[in-house]
Amino acid sequence: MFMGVLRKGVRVEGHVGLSIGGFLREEIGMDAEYIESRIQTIFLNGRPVDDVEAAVIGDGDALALSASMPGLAGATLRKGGHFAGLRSTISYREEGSAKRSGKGVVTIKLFNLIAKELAPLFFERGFIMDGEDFSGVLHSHHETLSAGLRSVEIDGQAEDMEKLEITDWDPKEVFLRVRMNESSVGHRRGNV
Amino acid sequence: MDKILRIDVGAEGGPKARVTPVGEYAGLGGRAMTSGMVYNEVPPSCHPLGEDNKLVIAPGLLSGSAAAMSGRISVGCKSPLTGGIKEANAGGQPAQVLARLGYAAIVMEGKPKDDTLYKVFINKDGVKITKANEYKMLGNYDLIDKIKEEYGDKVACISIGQAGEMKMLASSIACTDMEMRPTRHAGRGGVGAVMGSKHIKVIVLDDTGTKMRQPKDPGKFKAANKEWVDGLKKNPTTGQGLPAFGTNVLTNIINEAGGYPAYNFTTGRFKGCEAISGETEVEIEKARGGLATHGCHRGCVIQCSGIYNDKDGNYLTKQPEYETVWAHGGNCGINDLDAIAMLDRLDDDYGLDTIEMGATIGVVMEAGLAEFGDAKAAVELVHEVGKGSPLGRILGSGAAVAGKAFGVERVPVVKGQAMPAYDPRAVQGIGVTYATSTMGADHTAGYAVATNIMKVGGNVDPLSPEGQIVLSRNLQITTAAIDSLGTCLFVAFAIMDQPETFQALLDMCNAFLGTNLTADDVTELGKSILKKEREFNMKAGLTSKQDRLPDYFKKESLEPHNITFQVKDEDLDQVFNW
Ligand code: SF4
Repeated sequence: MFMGVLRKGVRVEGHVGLSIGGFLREEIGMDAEYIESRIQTIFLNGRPVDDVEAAVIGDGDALALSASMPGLAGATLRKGGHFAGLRSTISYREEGSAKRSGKGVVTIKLFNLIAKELAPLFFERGFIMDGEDFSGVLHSHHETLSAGLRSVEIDGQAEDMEKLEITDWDPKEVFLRVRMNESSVGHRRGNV
Repeated sequence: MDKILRIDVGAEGGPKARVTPVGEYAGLGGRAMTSGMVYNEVPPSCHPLGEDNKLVIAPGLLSGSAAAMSGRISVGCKSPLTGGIKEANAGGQPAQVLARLGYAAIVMEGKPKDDTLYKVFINKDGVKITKANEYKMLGNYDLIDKIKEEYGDKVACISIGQAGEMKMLASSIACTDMEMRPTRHAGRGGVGAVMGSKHIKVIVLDDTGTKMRQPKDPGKFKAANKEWVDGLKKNPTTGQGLPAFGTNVLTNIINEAGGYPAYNFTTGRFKGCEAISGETEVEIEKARGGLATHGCHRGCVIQCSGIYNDKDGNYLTKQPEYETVWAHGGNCGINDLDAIAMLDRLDDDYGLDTIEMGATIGVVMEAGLAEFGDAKAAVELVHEVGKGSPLGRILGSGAAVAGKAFGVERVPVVKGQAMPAYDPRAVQGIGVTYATSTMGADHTAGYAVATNIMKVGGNVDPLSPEGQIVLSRNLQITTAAIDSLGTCLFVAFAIMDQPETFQALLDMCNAFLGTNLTADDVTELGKSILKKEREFNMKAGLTSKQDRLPDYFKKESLEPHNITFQVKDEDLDQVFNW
C-alpha cells in the first residue's frame, strides 16, 4: 500500500558527501552485493549513473533505484552497460563538485522489484513523506490498516487508529517508521 | 515449412490459391523471408495499395517447434505509410499454427477485380477461399466472434478491422492470442491497408491433425531448448522484471531519465506518470481479477503480457504495453489507465497501430482539436477513425498526414512513421536508430542487445561519437537477424547478459535446422537483410536524405536536461557504411 509512495520518493536523513555506494551501505544499511548485482539502474538527479563509487551524493539530491530494465532503452540506462554510450549526453558525471559532507536529506525513489525488496528496510529505518500522501494512504487503505496495525504511536505517544485518521496530516511532513509488531509516526517541521 | 501459399487476388472468378515449393527462399524465416520476397518480387516504385505490391506473412524459422519464445510472425510489404520496405511483427498464435501447417509464407498478390471481400481458411487438407461480404466493416472483436461460431475456438486468425478495409495508413493486422482474442498486432507501417487493398478480411488457420515441427537432431535440440529456457528464467529481466510488471515497467524509468516524451514531445517528464506506470497497472489488474503475468502465445516463457479488466471485473483488453500506455497516455497528457486501456481496446478492434494513433492524437491536441489530458476526447477521436468520417480519415492516416492537415510543425515522425516512446534528445543513440532504420522511426529496430557478445563490427569505444554510430548499426544488424528467427525480442536481455544463453539459442537453431550457424553467420544474415532493405528503399526514393530526425529535435531543447539532438548528419550517414 505504500509502494506508490516509495516510487514517488521518500526522504531520508543521513550523512551525505559520500559516494552513492557508501551512502546506500552505510546510511541505509544495504548489502554491498545487493547494490552491485541487483540495483542495475540508478539515477542521480535524473541522470543515469555508471559508477556508484565515484558519484557523490549531496544534500537535497534525488536518487532513484531500479532493477535491470527491458529493451534497448533499458539496456542503455543500465549502470556501466555496453550501451551507456547511447545516452552519454545525459549521463551523470562527477566533476569534483563541492558537495559538502555532513548531515543532509536525500530523496530516494524505489521502482519495480527494488521497491518490493527494499520496502522492509526502509520501513524499519523510517522515512519522511508528505502529509498529503500519508493521508491518501490512510484513506484508501483504511481496512487493511485497521486489520493489520497492532499499535500506533504519534510523537512518542501511544494512540489509536482513529487518532491517526482524524489528524490533519496534509500540511505537514510525516516521519514514518513501521516495525513488525508496532508502528510509530512523528510530525515534523514545528509539530513535533 | 517447405511450401509457400500464393493467393492471386486478381484472378478471374475471384482469388486463386497456388501452393509452390519454398524453392529459392528455403532456409529463410520471419523478416529474412518477408524482406527477401519484397526485395525480389515487388517493384520499389509501385503504389503500395496497387497491383504490384505484395503482402508477405511469414513465421519465424523456429516457429511451430517446441522451441520456447518462437512464436513471432512477420508481415512484409511496401509500406503505404513510409513508402519504403516494411516488416512489422506480432506475437499471438498464428506463427505456430501456420508453421505447423507447413507454410513458410503466405503471399497475397495482384489486384481484386471488384469490391468483394474474402476469407481464407487453411487446414491440413488445403486452402479454401470464400466470399465474406457479411464481415464488411466489422471490428476485429466482432469478426473473431463470428469466426468462432463457424470454426470453433481452437483456430488462429490473422485479420483486419475497419481501418484496414478503409486502407488507412495507421492500420494494423491483428493476430489472435491464446484466448482467441485479436490482441496482437503487426502494427507499424500501415500493413493492414495492404491486406485491405487485397480484399482479404481474415485468414483462419486450423492446425488440427498436424504435428509439432520436428528437429533434425532431437537430442541436441532438447538439451539446447532446456538451457535456453533456464537462461531466460534465471535472468532478472526476462525471469522476474518482465513477468512481474510487463513492458510498462519502463514508464517510471524513462520518465526519471527525462526521456519520456510527454505532451507531444514537448517535455521529457510527465507529472502523471505514477498513475499509469507498470507497477500501478499491475496493482489494478490484480485487484480486478485480471492477470499480471501472461503469454501472448503458447511456448512463451517470459510472459510479459496480462489481462486488463474494467472496473466491474469484466475483460476489457490485454495488458496495454509500454508503448501504448505512453502513446495514448503521457504523450497526450492522459493519466487515466482505464481510458488508456479503452483506447487500446478500440485500436485493437478497429485495427490500428497504437503508437501511430497516440502520436497522431498528440499532434492534433497540439493543433487545438482537443485539450491535452482530455481522455474522453481522445476516445471520441479514435471512434471517428473507426467510423471513417472525414476527420477520422485524416487521423487514421497517421501523425505525418494529420500534422500537415492541421498545420503543426512539431510532428514526431521519420520517413512518415511516428516515433515510439523514447525521446531521441535524451537517449541520442536511439535517435540514431530512429533516423536511419529502414523501417522509419522504429524502436524494435535496435532492440536486440546482444551485439556485445556477437562483437558485430569489432570493438569500438562505445562512448565515442563513432561508437554511437557503430552501436546503432550493430543493433540494427542483430535485430534484423533475430527478427528472422521468429524469436520474441524480449529474449535480448538474457542473451546479452549470459553468453551461454546466446550459445543455447544458436545450438537450438542448429539442432533444429541441421545447420552449423555461428555468431558470424547470424551477423551476416542481419547484414544481408539490411542491405536488401536499404537498396529497396533507395529505389523507392528513400535516400540518406530521409535518414534524419525532424528539424525541431535539433532546435528545441528538451527538459529536464535541456538538450537538443546533437548527432551530425554526416555521422548518421555512416551507419550503413560497413
Ligand atoms: S515475452 Fe511478451 S511479447 Fe514476447 S512472446 Fe511472451 S508475451 Fe509475447
